[in-house]
Amino acid sequence: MFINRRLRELNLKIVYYGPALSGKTTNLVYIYNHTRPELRGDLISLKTREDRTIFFDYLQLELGQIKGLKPKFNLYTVPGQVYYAASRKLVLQGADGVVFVADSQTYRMVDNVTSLQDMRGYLRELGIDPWSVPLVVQFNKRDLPDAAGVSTLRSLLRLNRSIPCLESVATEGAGVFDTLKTIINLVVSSVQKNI
Amino acid sequence: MLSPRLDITVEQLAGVEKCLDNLQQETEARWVLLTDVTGQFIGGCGLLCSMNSLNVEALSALAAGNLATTREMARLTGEEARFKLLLYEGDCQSVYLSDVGGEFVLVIAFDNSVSISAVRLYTKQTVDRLQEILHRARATVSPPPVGLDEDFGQLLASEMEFSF
Repeated sequence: MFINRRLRELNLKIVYYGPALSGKTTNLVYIYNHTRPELRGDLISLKTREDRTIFFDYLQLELGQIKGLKPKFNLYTVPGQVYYAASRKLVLQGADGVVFVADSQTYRMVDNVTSLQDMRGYLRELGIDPWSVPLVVQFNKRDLPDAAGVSTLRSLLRLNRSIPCLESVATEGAGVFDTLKTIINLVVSSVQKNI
Repeated sequence: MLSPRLDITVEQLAGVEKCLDNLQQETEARWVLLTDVTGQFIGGCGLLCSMNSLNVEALSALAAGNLATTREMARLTGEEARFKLLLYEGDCQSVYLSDVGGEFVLVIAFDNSVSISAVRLYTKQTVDRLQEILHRARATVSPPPVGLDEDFGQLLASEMEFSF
């Protein structure tokens, strides 16, 4: 979080984390394509020739003045591929909130669990208590026939009741903005508590 | 513990901007920008201010990611100290990135007619001055900004309903 008192800006960082091909970039692309141009910056994507995120995607959203303050949300994704572990940790640095994008397909469960554990490990290495960072879990790809049930996903990922979980089909935009609003609300309420 | 917060007062930001202005004038840089290591834009001057076409937030995110990458490379290759600077040479302009106390990144874009040794010298002096101000900013505990109260969350939620 960066507070610029002269410009009365509140800059907050939200990271979309999750295993490879779970739909992190798809979330950001949908947000970019469905947000009024005056509310968003450019979508920056650092990707390979095969269209896979190599470092991060970045998008800034600005919602105008609220009670004289200008909240700005910097959205990042991490690269999901196993071999980009170092990049994931770097992007998590300074995160005020995390959206964990899980792939609902049954055969991806191990990847989801491993990715969530790794994320908590990286946060600890960065000196951040993983349980104190606002977290929203998005169960993506709900339209696929092999999608596991929500209660199964919750239980496999060992998510307690206090962690909001939302269902989505990011390719069609279903659940994308609900996820974004939920994490923003959580981050802002965490800022109010901790400032 | 949550991610550390950076809260810069009006006076501290004025001090930072003065340092950046001086550096830009001394090196005749096209523009100068300061970001923290998480990619948050802190301040800038030069063409950044007069050309809205430059996306300072995206530049900040990319610069921070860039220097962070070199740090990780240093670690992987067994270099104990951090790699502290980066230089990109283009046909007409170059971009110089310098670490500021491990927490911030200073970026200077200058024409290739400018001497790199002058850029290095003035950058080093600026880094020392910035470190002093930013260290104070980290240590300052300010009250929450006016407006960040209970209503703020509710108003933000309704603004989001309207905007998204």
